[in-house]
Amino acid sequence: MRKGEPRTGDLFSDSQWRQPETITVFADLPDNAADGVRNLLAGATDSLGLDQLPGVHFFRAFVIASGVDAAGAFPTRAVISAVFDGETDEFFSQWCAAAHDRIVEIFHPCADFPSTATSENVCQWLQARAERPKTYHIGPVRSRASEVREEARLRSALGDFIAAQNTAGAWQHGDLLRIWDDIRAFVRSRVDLPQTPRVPNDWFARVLQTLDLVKRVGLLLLVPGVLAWLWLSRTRHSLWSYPLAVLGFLAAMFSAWAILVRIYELAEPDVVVKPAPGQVAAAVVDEDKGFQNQFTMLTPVRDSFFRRLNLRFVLWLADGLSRHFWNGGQLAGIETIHFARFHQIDGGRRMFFMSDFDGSWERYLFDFVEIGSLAVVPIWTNLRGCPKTRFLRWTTPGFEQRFLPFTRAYQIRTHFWYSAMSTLTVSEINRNADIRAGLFQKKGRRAIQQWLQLI
Amino acid sequence: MKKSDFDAGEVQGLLASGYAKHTAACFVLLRILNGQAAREWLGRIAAQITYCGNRQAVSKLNIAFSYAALGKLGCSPEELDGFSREFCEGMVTPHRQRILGDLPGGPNDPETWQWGGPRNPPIDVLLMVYELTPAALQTRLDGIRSGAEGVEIIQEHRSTGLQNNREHFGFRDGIAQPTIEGIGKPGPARDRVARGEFILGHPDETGSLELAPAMALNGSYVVLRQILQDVPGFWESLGQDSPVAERIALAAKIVGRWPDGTPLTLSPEPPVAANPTNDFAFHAKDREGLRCPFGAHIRRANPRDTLLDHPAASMEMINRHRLLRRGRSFGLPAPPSTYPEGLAVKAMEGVMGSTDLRGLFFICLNASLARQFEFVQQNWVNLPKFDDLTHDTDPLVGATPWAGPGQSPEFMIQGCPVSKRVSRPQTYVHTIGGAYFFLPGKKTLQRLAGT
Repeated sequence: MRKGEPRTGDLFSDSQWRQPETITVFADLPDNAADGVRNLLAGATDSLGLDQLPGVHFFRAFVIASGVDAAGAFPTRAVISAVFDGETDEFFSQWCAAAHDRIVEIFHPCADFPSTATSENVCQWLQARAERPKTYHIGPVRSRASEVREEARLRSALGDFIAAQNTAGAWQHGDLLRIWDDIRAFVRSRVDLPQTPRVPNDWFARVLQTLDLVKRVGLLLLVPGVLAWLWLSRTRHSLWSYPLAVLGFLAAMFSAWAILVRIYELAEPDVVVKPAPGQVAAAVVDEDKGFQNQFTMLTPVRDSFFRRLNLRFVLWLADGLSRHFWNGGQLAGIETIHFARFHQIDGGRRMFFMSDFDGSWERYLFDFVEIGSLAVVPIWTNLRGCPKTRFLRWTTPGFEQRFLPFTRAYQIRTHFWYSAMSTLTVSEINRNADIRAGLFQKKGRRAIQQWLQLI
Repeated sequence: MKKSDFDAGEVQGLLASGYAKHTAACFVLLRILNGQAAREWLGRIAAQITYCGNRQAVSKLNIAFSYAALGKLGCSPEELDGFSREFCEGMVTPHRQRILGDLPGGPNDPETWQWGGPRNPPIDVLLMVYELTPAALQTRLDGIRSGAEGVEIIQEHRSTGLQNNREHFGFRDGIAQPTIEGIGKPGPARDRVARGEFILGHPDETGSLELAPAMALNGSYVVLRQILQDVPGFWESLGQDSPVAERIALAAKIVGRWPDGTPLTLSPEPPVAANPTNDFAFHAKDREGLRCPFGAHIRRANPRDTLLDHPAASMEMINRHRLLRRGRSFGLPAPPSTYPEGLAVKAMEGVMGSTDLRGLFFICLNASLARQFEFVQQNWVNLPKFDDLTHDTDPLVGATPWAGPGQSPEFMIQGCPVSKRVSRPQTYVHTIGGAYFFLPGKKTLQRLAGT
């Protein structure tokens, strides 16, 4: 929560310090109703009321078909996923208020949908089926939709102002301090532009963030810590023995895990997965129509308990890294991802991935392999059909050539996709935020020059 | 396809050279009428094809085929299985038009193309003929015409050799080229790339083989686009009333080099002596774009070491998206009065022309059309949001796929104390034809010809 704002929602939830929030709703759907829902979503020409919700960043809705694997069947499901500012219950109640009739029209065939739908019980129905992702990456961290819009307006206005000053020859003197004063005076004269810097998170949010990091490191060290304690409790030891023993047990556990991973990598069959004829052509129909694209993928996990567990662990690790380290606009160097969500569904047998990103699908996937493989490959390699790796991390020759068709093969169609700020890229949003932040800082000539380079 | 040992003699010569000394050239576009007769014709042509290392040949001839042509020449679906989707589908599909900026109703709309578009006859075969003199070219073309059986010549496009390696806008061209491991003289270290980036069946920069059928061994994909250049429009838009030095400086900012080819990064002021080198990078000398703007043509087409935070990582990434360019100009130069003083472009002696249309046959070779040509076009050349820019496309050749009504593209010139924004016309170039081809290796060509 920001400084000075009233606290809402669960006091200790992640949303108190990590925004925007995200939620995905999985609702079972009778097979015979799937086509109807698909058609309604794909044919929607409105925004499903989302344009009336100023805090929404992205939203998607689609149907995933029923299926079966060795362990059982998967039902047909209608899926909704949203990224928004604030709390989940607020989002659902606002959306239900804005688009009650459309929600009922589209989702009434879903299992247990209220027979007499009111905004309240539809909201409850959505809440009851809502899940948070196992891993959630945020590109424009702590950026509210309202701030993103304000800052885009600020940059555009500053660009126009500078261009006008150039045309008029007003800054031929080249004095940075005078230019800086002119710019600040211009912003002050425009009440539609932000007049203050963003409000930072309050102390409580920062404490929660720190506690989250401590909790995750603690969980990692829990087992080696207990083992070290048990081992050392039988003997006399020096002050340094305990941390060294913890590190020793951690290294031993890590090595055992790595060996087990490698054994599985060597023993598992190398399954080659290619998209069906026409599948890619159908997928690209919706792509590259603007600056942003989206991707949804549903993939079976490699068929073993170890792989399901391993994927769960890697997703947890990746989530921690995204929360505390990859939170400056980049995911291991990839700077085109707005929001990426990973869910493990159906008892961990399938992984569900959704992403909103800048640029083309090809660029996105090449970035995965070329730039951000550290963040991506250890997750994907647990999936059936992913080209093999060594120790989860290192790819083998031919990985890229097989990885792209593999992801296409498991891509599923997003029948409805909404982007509230479809012309802004992640780098642009973060740069605009830097422009705003810099505008309200005291600066010397060198800092002014660096700030001017942002515009 | 399995990894194979490399024999440069199996690879068509275009991969090693653009035949710069052969200033008389013609691109012959053909359609296959009869598969069997075409195979016999190909048998005769195949013996004349130039391969790497064949320095003795006075004339140079290379040949490439469309996906449909390979089927017409008798290749089974099984043999063709594995060619890339981009090659199989061709350059003109709704999605690919969005990628390349060939949007319906726009300046590059394939509906208006003179060849390769949906309204034009299919092009199956591309013959690239290079001779030392226009007379020799004429003789060679007469021979090709008279011997064409089973095929129909749809169009012939003469290239125009321009003096001092200039293109029609007046700038020295063809400087920035990667060098292929094992072929030709090695260039600067940062420009050396693995064979597999351009030749199928060989390891690329990651040690991997691009997915392709066995028959693609030692072959490469060819991109051919015929691009009209509006030379008067280009120079007029730079301010006819401005001093010559200012116009040239602005044009140099657009290109990223001075007309003589000297990079702005090495020489921000007009150079005393030409230095048309490719041995430079941006990170150390020009990270802020104060010399060569972020949006300049050469910086978009090859961002070198500045696209990622770490220069070495950036170079590694960039080298996965390199193009081997083999372009040629066509049409006579614009009148000297079009250009600022001292920059007029002149044709090579003996070159004849009959049209006022002028431009460039953009030709490039790559092992992956998606990862190389299409990636560069979509994500670097045509993308307004390239490298912290917001409203620019490539100021020289970029299409403007997202410029809506009333929105004109801009060119941002980074500067001190503030950057400068220059409005420019929608585009100075228009594509009027294009297609993807496959340039086969020697054994595959012999197999296609049945020899």
